[in-house]
Amino acid sequence: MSQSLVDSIARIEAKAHAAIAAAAGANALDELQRIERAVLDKGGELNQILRGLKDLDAAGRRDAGQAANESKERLAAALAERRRAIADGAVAAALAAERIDPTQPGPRRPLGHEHPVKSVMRELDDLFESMGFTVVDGPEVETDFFNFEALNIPPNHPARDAQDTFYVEGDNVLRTHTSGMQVRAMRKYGAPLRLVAPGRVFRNETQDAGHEHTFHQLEGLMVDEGISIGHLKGVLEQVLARLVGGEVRTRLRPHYFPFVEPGLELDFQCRICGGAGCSTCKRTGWIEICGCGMVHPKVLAAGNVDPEKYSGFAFGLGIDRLTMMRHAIPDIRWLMSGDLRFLRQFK
Amino acid sequence: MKLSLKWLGEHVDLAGVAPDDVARELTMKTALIEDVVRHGAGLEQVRVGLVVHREKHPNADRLSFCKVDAGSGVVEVVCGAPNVAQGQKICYAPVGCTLPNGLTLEARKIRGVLSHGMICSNAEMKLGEDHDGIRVLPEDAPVGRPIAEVLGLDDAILDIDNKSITHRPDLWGHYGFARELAAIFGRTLKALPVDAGLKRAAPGPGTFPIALEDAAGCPLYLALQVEYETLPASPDWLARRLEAVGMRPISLLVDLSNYVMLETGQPTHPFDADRLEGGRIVVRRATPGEKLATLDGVARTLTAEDVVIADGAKAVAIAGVMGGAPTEVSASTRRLLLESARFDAARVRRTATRLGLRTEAVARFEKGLDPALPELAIRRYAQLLKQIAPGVRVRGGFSGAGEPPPPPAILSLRPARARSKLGYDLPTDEMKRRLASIGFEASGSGERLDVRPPTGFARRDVACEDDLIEEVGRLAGYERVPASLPRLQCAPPRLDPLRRVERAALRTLVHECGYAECMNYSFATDRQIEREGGAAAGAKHVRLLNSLTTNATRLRRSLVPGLLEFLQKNLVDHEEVRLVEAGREYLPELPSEYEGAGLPRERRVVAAVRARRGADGEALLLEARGDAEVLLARLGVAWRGRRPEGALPPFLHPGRTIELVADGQAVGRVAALHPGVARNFGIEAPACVLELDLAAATAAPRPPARMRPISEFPPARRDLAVESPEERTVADVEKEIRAAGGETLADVGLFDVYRGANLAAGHRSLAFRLEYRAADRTLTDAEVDAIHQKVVERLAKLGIRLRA
Repeated sequence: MSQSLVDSIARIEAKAHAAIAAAAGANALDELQRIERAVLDKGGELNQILRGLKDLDAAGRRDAGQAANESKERLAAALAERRRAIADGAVAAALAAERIDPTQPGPRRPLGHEHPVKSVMRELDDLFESMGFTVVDGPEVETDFFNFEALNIPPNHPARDAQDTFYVEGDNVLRTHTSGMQVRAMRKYGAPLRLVAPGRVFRNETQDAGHEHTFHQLEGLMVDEGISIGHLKGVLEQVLARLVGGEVRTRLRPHYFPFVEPGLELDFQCRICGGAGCSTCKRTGWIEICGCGMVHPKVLAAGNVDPEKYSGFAFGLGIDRLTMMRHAIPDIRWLMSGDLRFLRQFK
Repeated sequence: MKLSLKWLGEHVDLAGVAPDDVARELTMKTALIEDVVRHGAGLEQVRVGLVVHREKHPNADRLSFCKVDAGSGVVEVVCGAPNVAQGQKICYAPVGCTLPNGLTLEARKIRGVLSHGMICSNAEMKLGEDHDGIRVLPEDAPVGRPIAEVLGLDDAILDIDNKSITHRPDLWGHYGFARELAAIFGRTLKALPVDAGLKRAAPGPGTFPIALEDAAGCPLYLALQVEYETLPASPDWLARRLEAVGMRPISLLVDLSNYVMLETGQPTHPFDADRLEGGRIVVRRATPGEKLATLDGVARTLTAEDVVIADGAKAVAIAGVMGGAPTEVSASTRRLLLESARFDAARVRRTATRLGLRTEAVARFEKGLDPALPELAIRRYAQLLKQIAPGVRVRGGFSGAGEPPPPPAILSLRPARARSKLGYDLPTDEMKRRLASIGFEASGSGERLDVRPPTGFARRDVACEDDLIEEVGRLAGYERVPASLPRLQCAPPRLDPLRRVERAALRTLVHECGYAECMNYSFATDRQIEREGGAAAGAKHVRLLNSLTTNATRLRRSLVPGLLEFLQKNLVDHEEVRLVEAGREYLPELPSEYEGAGLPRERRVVAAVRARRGADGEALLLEARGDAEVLLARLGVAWRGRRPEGALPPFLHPGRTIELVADGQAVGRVAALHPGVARNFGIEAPACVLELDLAAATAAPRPPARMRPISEFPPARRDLAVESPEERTVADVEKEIRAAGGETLADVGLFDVYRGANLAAGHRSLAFRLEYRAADRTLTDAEVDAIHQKVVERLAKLGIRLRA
């Protein structure tokens, strides 16, 4: 009696194994699920058969029960194995079938663009901040005092020619440089001081490929005890190395600005010709990058800083020219054109 | 300004120094040399030719057909210059030759006639400017000889950047640069040859009467009287020198005046003494409205600010600017009066600026020349004139009025301070030596040197100790300064909060919302103001007192009109345009945050415009509102949108304007463009505008976000579609939903708005998704249904019904 029960279990198991092995195709997983329900679940065939156990003796019950449990385990294992094989097959099939054209673009999303001049300005802000300089803003409509007088540019000085300066009502001007920020900052913060003042400046000039009446500068100022031309050189070399990248050769030569003494111009060696002379550097081998010098004692005094105790350096970078050099922009008028055909070319 | 190396060599021996070295050393120590042009470079193949035959070109009236003998057979050449003539000796460039201007000659047909080579002008040979056409050589020039040899072309011309010598009146002549070169190369500066015997005559018979009525405008006026029967033409060397530095030879008296100016820096002016009425000179202020025809043939009207030189009857020259045509020296002049004077630099500048007359004399006088120069120039002129034309008679000495000022004050220099500023150990002895090399006499040693500035070549730029430091620093060479980094404090730099806000705003709009950042001018043009519907009532602009273009006379009060112009231009070739600008609005009615009288408030704003062809206007506006939502979220600003309160700029659509409110303050707007203004600007696509006042939006402190607890239990979601009267805002309805939902209603979001025929008139459908959630348990369906029912009932009481 128990033997016939055990045989039945074996038959059910064999049939189920065959069905598991045969499960294939798109519905294979559903088929396995069906087999599992029909054979292994509570109301499944194996459990049905075990209802006959009550008619058996203890030994028979043990043998048949054991046989049924072993069958269940084997079938469960077979199902799991079969499912894994199917899944593996699906992965393999997917890998074999699925491909992409790497040149096909993604769905178009609106892409914004930073203005190249503003990008350079932000880069300079970061660079100077990393060197411990405070970045400050100032007024674009400026008083005659801060724009000229305090910078050792008295009335009738050639640097304040009417054709260069925009005057506005109330004896004020549109600032012709960011240098006025030197005195404003010294008055506000006192010495020692380390800051840059980037911003928009204006000259009443006719526009052409190289000239704009509206452009951008960055004024740098450092005031402390014992500041020397050597420090000016050191700081500007660092700035240029990071801005231009790599090894940069520089030279300082005399130049005149009323608010610095000595007044200097910093050139860097042309990277295109390596100093041999080419059209970019106008055959000189050097490119003018910034006017600079030691803050004039009169300017320190105008900033309420004692020129006997403190000295300082100042420099002015032309941001538009720097931007044009970086991006090979041939005509400065593009910068204020608002033309998307231009703006879209930048990140 | 141009410098001739040969001319410099006359004053300082530059033997063994290459032109490039001169240029480099001057650039590094004195002034920027922009270019070095070697005369004769590229002219190796150009030879003296004889025009053996000339006739009109058969096919062109303005061209000549010539036969030229240049020593190796006669060739046929077509020439376009008006001055070519048979029998002339000319400069002939053969086929195959490359001229200094880069032109390589080949045999080519000109209007049907083959031309073999070219007859050259000065410009083509880089020897100066073209005046009459081709360069004609002296009759005795030997045919076939290289012209470099015949013309003595062994000069090099240095081109100075004038901006680098605006502060150095001593460098506006060759002699000043010779002094620098002597100092730089350690050579001796030769004394300038002058007529030392010439004396200033006491006023009286034989001297020319001079009255200084405007002694402030002209502190010193000297005049030299010269008589002659005949004068030779300018000798070749003189003409060539002037040409070499870009000045056209005219006549001996004028050429010498120019020569002395180019050498000493002192302008002089030759008058025909016989044309000076009353035989006297009066230096005075012009009478207002006084007229004078200047040498350039223009009638000038003068003001009382101008200093004029007058004779007994009328103004004859504008002091320091230009002489008058009626008293100009000419071939018939027999008596010269040479003026050599000092004029007030500022007055000369103002007059020249007002008249728009920038002459060589102005460039020099406005720098403030040395008081001793007028006398030096007169002596030099006399010496050169007597040398060239021994027959001339100088009447007595020279006449004069006015006295030179006292010599400059003694300056002091502390060597320790110089070392500290230069950043290296420059020995005191070297400082003294460097100063001496440019005429500054330094005495003493130790802590303080006394320095006596030179006389005779005023250095107005050297007036204090730091100026002396510059002199020793530049002559010692800035390449000796070692680069070093200053000690930095550990305290982090102060940050400018508004710069950060502006940056975050742009990053958001550019990087997240797809706007292109642009920049526009700070000006408002009349056209913009007209197109935006005229200046808003009471809106006052900062006005420009001078400007290049008559249509930009004000500073902008808004960035939007400029953006609208950009928008219109870009819509020509783009379907969709998004532009953003960060900039300033200039508001004169508000006080500036900066020190200084009369400065306007400069409000920092971010403004953006957006347009898309074929878009639905309302949908586009909502997209722009979405941009504002992202922007304000990134800036951390808590805000709400409301219908505008108060006056709007004329360019906004009043019904489609969303005012952005933070802390009860309007801080910005998102709006559709006013359709009339859109038409004025020629914008045909739906467009909208976003404006944000950066300072106002971020005025309230923004504490860092605090984390809220997150429920472990799942939410239950219910959708709610209601038919709501148009006048009820979404915010109103949402507020009611939240009030009814209480704490259990965790979130409400609008997901659809619908208007259509199956709704009651004046109503729209609003569809919300509600999310119910408890912090401590999973809500049962029955609980959720009960709360949701309360929401529905509350809305129903307000006439907001569930959609069928």
